[in-house]
Amino acid sequence: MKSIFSTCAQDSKRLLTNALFWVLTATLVVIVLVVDLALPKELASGGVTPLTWNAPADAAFGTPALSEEALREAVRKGDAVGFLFGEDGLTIVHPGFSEKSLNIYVLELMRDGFTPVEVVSLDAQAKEIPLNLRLTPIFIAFEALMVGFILGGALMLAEKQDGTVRALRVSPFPVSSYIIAKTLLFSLIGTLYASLICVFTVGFSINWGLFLPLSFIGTAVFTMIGLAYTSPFRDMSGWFFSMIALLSINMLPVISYTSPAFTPFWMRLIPSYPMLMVYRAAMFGGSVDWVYTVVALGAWGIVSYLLARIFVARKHLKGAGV
Amino acid sequence: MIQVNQVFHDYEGKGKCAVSDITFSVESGSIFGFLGPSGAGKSTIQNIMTGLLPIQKGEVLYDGKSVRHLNTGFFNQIGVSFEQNNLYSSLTGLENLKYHAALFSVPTVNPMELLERVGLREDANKRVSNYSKGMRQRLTFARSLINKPQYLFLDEPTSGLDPKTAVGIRELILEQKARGAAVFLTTHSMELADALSDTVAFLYGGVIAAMDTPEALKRVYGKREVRVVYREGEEERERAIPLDDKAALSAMLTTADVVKLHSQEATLEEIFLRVTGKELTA
Ligand SMILES: Nc1ncnc2c1ncn2[C@@H]1O[C@H](COP(=O)(O)OP(=O)(O)OP(=O)(O)O)[C@@H](O)[C@H]1O
Ligand SMILES: [Mg+2]
Repeated sequence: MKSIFSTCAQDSKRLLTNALFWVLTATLVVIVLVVDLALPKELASGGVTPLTWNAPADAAFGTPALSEEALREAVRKGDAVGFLFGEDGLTIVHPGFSEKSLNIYVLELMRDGFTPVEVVSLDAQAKEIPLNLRLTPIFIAFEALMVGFILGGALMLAEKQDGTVRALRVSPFPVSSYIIAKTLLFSLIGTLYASLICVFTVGFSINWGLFLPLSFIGTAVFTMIGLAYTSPFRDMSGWFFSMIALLSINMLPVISYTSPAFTPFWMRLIPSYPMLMVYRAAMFGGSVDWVYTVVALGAWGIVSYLLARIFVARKHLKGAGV
Repeated sequence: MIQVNQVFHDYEGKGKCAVSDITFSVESGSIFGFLGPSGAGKSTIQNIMTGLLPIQKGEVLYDGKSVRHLNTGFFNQIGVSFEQNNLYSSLTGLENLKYHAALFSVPTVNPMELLERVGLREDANKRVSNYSKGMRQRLTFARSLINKPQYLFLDEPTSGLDPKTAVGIRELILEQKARGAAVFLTTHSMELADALSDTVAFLYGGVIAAMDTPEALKRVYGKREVRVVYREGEEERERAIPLDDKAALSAMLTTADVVKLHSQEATLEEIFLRVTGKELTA
């Protein structure tokens, strides 16, 4: 225990002299400024997918839904706007659009010769999420949660460069404590960074009970993947560029986040996907697919710890050669 | 006690061993001096002994237990001072020691006391990035003592230090021996090895060329002769006489006007040269 907390303390001191730490902190400020000042607040028309049910052959818009229930479910999640063709005529179901946004759809429909008889909002809060805030979870997932991946890796490389890793190898410091110490420190930093971005953009009134544990677990998963990934590297050069490739794959779920209709199964296997979904629920309301979320994050938690155990032990600490 | 039995190590796996058939033991409460020129394989052996390099062939035993099967907790009893720098350069000297102390689950020495002993008290709160090479070396040495190790590995602890600090460090090493530690001292310095070691081994080209107490080595390889300085008229002359040539020796002492007599004890340096045919510090 003592050794874990001491490692956290000295790693945080080492961070203060690490250039990447200040780069990431400056990025945080830039993100807040961009969200608050530079991004448009209008809801992007591509933000939701138009889904149809029972559409007549001449309705040349939207994607046919699998069932009426599936359509309502997608709308409830905020992923879609639905067009239900019933006996009485056309009903629009939407995830709480403002009148202004709705009018765009209604006008479009009337031009095609359809007049809606009813408009139903499936969002109790009936609140339109401005685009800039809608993008905030993306910034949080790919900046705040990545501190552990990037800075944890940077600290490991510094240990190799300083040669201090050799001193650790001949000390009674178990691999598990090494991983726990780094993960604990960065999970706290990641949670703090995520909270700061959220408070300065979306504000205080969010579901913190969901937001804080997610940020902590999310940073922990990425930190442990980062520790495993960095272990075989000796210096910054190769590490930095291949890291960007890995992070790009991890960013693919942004596509599904902004266009929910495109969510192939493999997308749900990428760790950032469940995180984005839960962030949206925590910050803007909506439902959480608990079974999927718990299974996905739980599995990634276990897998990332095992990967870190194996790689840190074999390639960074014990048995890593001289 | 540490036992090293018939250890070989081949870095590249191409059948070219960096060290071959190394066998020796280091008793508790004694200092084992491991001498050899650069590239002889000294650090290789130390790294195998401390588990940094996996054992390929042979065995290293700590009180009978193989280094292959030691658990993490065993390292509570080990102290290692490396030849290369390995300190957290963004932390101060004191922070480096305090952090290292926190890794152990056995009682540790007060870091400030250790810094005092190696002459770094004044610089305790300076960042290591601002330390000189010698200061870093002293800090690395101090760090290796923080857990009062039963097995102490010192790779070149005094190279590049001024004579006064080197004396202080010698004293500290002797204290570790007095406390009962088994000290494995790797060095180029014949003088240091001679002054401290109970046993020395000469490593050359990856094999042990000679191993014994310094006294025994001097007896066996020393020149065993006396240098006599005597006066002949106005001039002082000098002559070397083998110790076993008793007739010549007594003749010299009875007939000549002897000014000085030196027993010609060989230095370890000279012995090394005789054993290996090579200069140690080349
Ligand atoms: N990582 C390595 N890979 C391949 N060969 C190595 C490696 N480390 C050392 N060697 C070789 O093994 C031999 C012994 O090296 P070692 O570092 O043990 O010597 P040393 O006696 O400690 O020298 P010095 O006094 O310079 O520290 C040398 O020939 C060296 O080139
Ligand atoms: Mg060496």
